[in-house]
Amino acid sequence: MSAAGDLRPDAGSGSGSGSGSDFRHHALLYETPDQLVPTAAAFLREGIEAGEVPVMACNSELSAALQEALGRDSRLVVADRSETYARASRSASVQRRMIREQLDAGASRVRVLGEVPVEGGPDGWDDWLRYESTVNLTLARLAVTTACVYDVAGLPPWIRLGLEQAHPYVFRSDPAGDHSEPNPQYMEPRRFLGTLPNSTADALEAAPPLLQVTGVRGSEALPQVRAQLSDTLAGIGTADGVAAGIVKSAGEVVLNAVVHGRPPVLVRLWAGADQLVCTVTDSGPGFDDVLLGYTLPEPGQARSGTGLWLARQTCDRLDAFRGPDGFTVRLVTHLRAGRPSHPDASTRSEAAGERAQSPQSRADEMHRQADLLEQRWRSSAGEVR
Amino acid sequence: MSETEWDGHLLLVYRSDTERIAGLTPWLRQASVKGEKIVYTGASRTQRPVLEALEAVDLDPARATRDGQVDFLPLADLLDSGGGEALVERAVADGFPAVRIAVASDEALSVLEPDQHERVERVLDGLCRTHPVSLLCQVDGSVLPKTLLSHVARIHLDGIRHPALRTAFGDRGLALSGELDGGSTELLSVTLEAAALRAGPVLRLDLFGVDHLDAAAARTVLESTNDFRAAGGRVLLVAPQESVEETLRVLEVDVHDGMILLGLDGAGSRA
Repeated sequence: MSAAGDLRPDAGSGSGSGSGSDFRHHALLYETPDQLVPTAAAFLREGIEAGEVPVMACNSELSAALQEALGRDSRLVVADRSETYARASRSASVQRRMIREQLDAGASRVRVLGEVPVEGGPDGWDDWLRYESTVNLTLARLAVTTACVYDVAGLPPWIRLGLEQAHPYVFRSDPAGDHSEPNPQYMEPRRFLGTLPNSTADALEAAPPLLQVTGVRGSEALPQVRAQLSDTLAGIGTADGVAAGIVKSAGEVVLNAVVHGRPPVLVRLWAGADQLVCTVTDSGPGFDDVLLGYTLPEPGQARSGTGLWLARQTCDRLDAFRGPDGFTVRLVTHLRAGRPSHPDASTRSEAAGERAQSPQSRADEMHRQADLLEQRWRSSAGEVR
Repeated sequence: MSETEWDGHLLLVYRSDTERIAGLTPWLRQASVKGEKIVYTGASRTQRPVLEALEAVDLDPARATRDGQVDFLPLADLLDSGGGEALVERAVADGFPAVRIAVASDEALSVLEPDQHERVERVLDGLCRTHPVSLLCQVDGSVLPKTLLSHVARIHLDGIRHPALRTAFGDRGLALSGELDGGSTELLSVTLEAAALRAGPVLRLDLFGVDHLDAAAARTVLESTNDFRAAGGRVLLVAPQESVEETLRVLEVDVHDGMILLGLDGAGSRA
């Protein structure tokens, strides 16, 4: 990687230099900090010059260096890194919302420099590699260019290879600077996911489950299944937010099983020291599409995948496979020290004060806002008349 | 659910005898506690769940019938009585403080055209407003055709009672409560369609009482208000619990035109 230069895509690579509707997803891999800042700054500067909205979600040190390099440009948007990357399964969705908000506000295109804070050992890397691959689908239709920053010094070869295979664009260095170009090592998500190892939950599942719910036959059983899961998790002291997430995922998968699978449905739950595992098994044919649930069906499209979209984002990992007992969906939620108890807990600092109010007074406040909005709309309608 | 939520003109939608008994029990408990008269109108073959529910609230059906606290009437008797006013006045004259009338509405719909049924409902609704009467209409939602479910939901928008969904209409719009999931989407759909018809330019949904909302229910909220929003209407989703708000945001319900979410996180940003 050389000093900062022209980061425009090579001629013929597709979409031109400025606005467009395609997602351009780059890996920015570096081994020493002095390689990183010039390239990252040039990436953001190019966006600023093209009239795009530049966003960075980095650690404070890199943020400060980039702000310095960009002359403290007021157009630079600093996103909360811990919010953007709170968990791998949710990050694409969080970014999708942030990007949409910028586009809705008038941006022609958004440019994001993000530094993923990987934790949790090999399982953690698996989660983030899965994210890096599937984000190509989740953000596919948005006018956004991203550069994902990874310090690859000392990383095992399999992780580095995975990062390279998950990104369709890379930066190529030459004497004139760094150029964005298509990545020859890129693998389509469907193929890439097949290279990731199986979940390490198998050992846990060898033990008797904490909870086993048998004979679930219809959707009317859903509240009871959710209640049994919640009660069991509360009984072992699982934090409310963590429990709520996996219960929500399980509810979606159970509904899929009773609607699309073949009853009876079997639900099992295990709790280990570092993860919760819930499996949902039915004797139906299941589904083969490994990408189901990584895109949100548009309104008017078939609903298929909507529940899995929610299920994938409210746990850390969702695997589906056929076994001797039938078709099983396995949900895994990691229990990591320091992790927010609720998927959104780290993103709600501004709302924390409001949560300190009683739920009823919060609701009252929301209704007051609704009253004001309705009043405003009525006034506008009156003015129009 | 508070005691008052079992007063007034309500619609109990059930899918099994178990659910019907579970709905009838708190309603009958009010009568038991307050010494109110109970009138069940429907075919004798549909009485068994009522008898079980009476026993569940410690009212011996035989003795209560003998004492005049419980009456079982053929539906035709209620329909022919001009709306039950005389029946209610007789009960009050006998010393009962109030009357609870349970109606097998699906049975009524099997002998009346929907517009005739609606006229009867209006008369009974008036009775609830002018006399000490609570009315519990009941339908088996698992077999009622969607057009008829839509019909009864529209009439009873103020007071639907279902294991997963309860409604109330007031200053804060349509208040929904319960656990909304794939098992209740048809009822949710007809309820929201009816609410949109009744709303002005804004349909406000008070979600404070919703304890769970799954992807199927969230899609239903979107799809059943499509026509309303396409015609320029706005749907305000107000005061969801944190977990429900998370679901609505993950499913991007609030990014659709005319859909405004007022919750903890970025309230009303698209308003």
